[in-house]
Amino acid sequence: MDDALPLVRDVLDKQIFDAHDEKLGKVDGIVLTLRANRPPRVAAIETDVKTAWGRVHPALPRWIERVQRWLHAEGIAPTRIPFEQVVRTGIDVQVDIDGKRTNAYVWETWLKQRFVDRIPGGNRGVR
Amino acid sequence: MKNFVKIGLGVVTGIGGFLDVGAIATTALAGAAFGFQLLWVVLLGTGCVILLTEMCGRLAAVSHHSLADAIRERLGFPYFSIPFVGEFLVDLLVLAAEIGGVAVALHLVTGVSYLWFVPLCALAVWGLLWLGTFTIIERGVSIAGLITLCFVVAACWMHPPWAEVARGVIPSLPSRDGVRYWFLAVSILGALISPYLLNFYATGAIEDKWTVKDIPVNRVIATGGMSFGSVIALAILVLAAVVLGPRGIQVDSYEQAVFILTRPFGRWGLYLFAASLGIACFGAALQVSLNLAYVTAQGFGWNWSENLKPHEDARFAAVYTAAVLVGAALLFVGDPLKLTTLSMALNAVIAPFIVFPLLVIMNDRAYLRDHRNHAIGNVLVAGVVLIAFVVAVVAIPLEVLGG
Amino acid sequence: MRFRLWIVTVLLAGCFGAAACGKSQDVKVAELHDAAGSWAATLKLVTEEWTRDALPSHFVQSTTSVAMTELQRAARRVRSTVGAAASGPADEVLARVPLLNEAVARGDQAAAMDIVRALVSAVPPKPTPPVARPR
Repeated sequence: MDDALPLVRDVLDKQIFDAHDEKLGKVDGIVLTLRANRPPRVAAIETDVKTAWGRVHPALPRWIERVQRWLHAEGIAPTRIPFEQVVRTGIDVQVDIDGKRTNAYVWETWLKQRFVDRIPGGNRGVR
Repeated sequence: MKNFVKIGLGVVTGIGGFLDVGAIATTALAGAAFGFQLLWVVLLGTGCVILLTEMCGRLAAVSHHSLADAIRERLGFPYFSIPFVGEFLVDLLVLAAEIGGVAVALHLVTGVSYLWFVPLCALAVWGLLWLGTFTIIERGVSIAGLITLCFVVAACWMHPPWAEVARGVIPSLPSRDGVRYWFLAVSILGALISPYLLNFYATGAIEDKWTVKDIPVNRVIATGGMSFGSVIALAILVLAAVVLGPRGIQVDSYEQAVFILTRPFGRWGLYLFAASLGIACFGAALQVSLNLAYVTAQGFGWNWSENLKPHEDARFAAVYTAAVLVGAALLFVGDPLKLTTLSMALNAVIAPFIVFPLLVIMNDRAYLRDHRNHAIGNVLVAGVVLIAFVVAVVAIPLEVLGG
Repeated sequence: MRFRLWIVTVLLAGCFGAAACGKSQDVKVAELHDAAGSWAATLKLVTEEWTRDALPSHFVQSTTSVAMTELQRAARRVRSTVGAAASGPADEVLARVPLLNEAVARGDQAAAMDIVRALVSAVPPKPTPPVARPR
């Protein structure tokens, strides 16, 4: 991308779609690499509930971590996607990776196994 | 022909889906307490809802993004967190009120305490969400909601003084009980301009795969459906004014509201009232619990659709499941009618945070392309935002003093 | 962040201000009298509907039960702040509800109507005319 890219307007908070057009989350944060004597480089986009709520108040991620510890789900790192793999920005952000190879669906899988698949009709119904 | 069927179904959905426990309770309260004086508030609320739902439908048809999506994406997560938290908490109260409405309907017919019916009603709501599709929920329950047209028939049957009804559409100041008058006005606006209705309408357009070609259909559905639905709310107010007001009966419980149909219809009136209340509240409970899941999933970018199996969108399914559980639990600590009036006042408090972003989003070329608002549309939305802010500021003090 | 704090502060101040103002004793007593009149009229109408078979007897009983609960709660609040004498109309209604329940349980329509007519005479409701501009 040679033109200037307005990161806040066209990247931050946008819906991320993976290479198969599946929803991967929203761009909750943008990761910059600081370099000595050079301008910062946009390293990655990040999707994580702690990152999003951390923008509202710095204490909120600590509360979320407590809840995750109570659920024995601590240590789930934010999902970071290298910026080189962003292929399109605008009202959505498209990335050139398979979302299932990231950790973006950890909670989805946990809920599926612990809850949805144990209730009759979770995988059936009149669809 | 296909468009006519779409429009017909959409208008029917609007009629059946417009009325919920909030609209029933607040209009009955208003008619009993102030005669026809508050009719103008119902019309004002309807006008606002038509404007806002048309915009939400247009946003969804052009951008394939819902209102919650657009608020987060355009205004950022820190702003989004305010209406998100507010709407989440208020919608839980509204959901409790709706489930309570279904339970009360069964209580009115059987005489058994409504608390016994709460787990059954919650299970029925959850079961339809778990196993059904968006089409079944949107159309099936809303078509059943047409039974609420019995209020319109009853209102005509009672031969109200139509000249006085016509005068009621002109705004007026109260001659007594000013605090209670304005509290009821705020509650009616909160019941009609429900934040959950706006995002649900936009999300429904995405579930139904609307495109730019559906913009004219959207206009007809928003206008026709909401207008017809509003006529039912007006009928309830007129009935309460004619049946309850002259007898000095205030609506402090649903038992008192039943009379508005038993006077014209005898024993059938009890069954029609219970069926109308039960079906309207059941449909609204489905909409509110779905909307809670939609707003959460859309806010955080998860997979969502009521047309997917729960296995395919587990987080979405988990949210509406938890919401129904919490909503049902709240009924064991709060009276359904009081929960209703409280949640309608709180709806009014959070509405401006959801309506204001439309001023920005509906003029954004990236979302609306050539279908952005004209100048008149922007002036009207600005007017609605101003009304919403004024109502939000006075809602809580009025709830304390007049509720 | 600071702007958000200001909004929350203003809203909370408004709420606490309104709560502190509260309602005067006269207003509370007037509201209790209105509620008692409203429930008296409700019991009369529900009995009339029962006598013309528009409502089943279990509906009358659940209405009287709600009336008792609501009026007992309201009367307790007024007695604790204003005094026992202020809850007179509510006590009138509460005293006659058991008699009404007995008449309905016996199926005695005439007795039930006598009770509610006397009740409405003793605790008259405040009617609201079906108009758009009350005089």
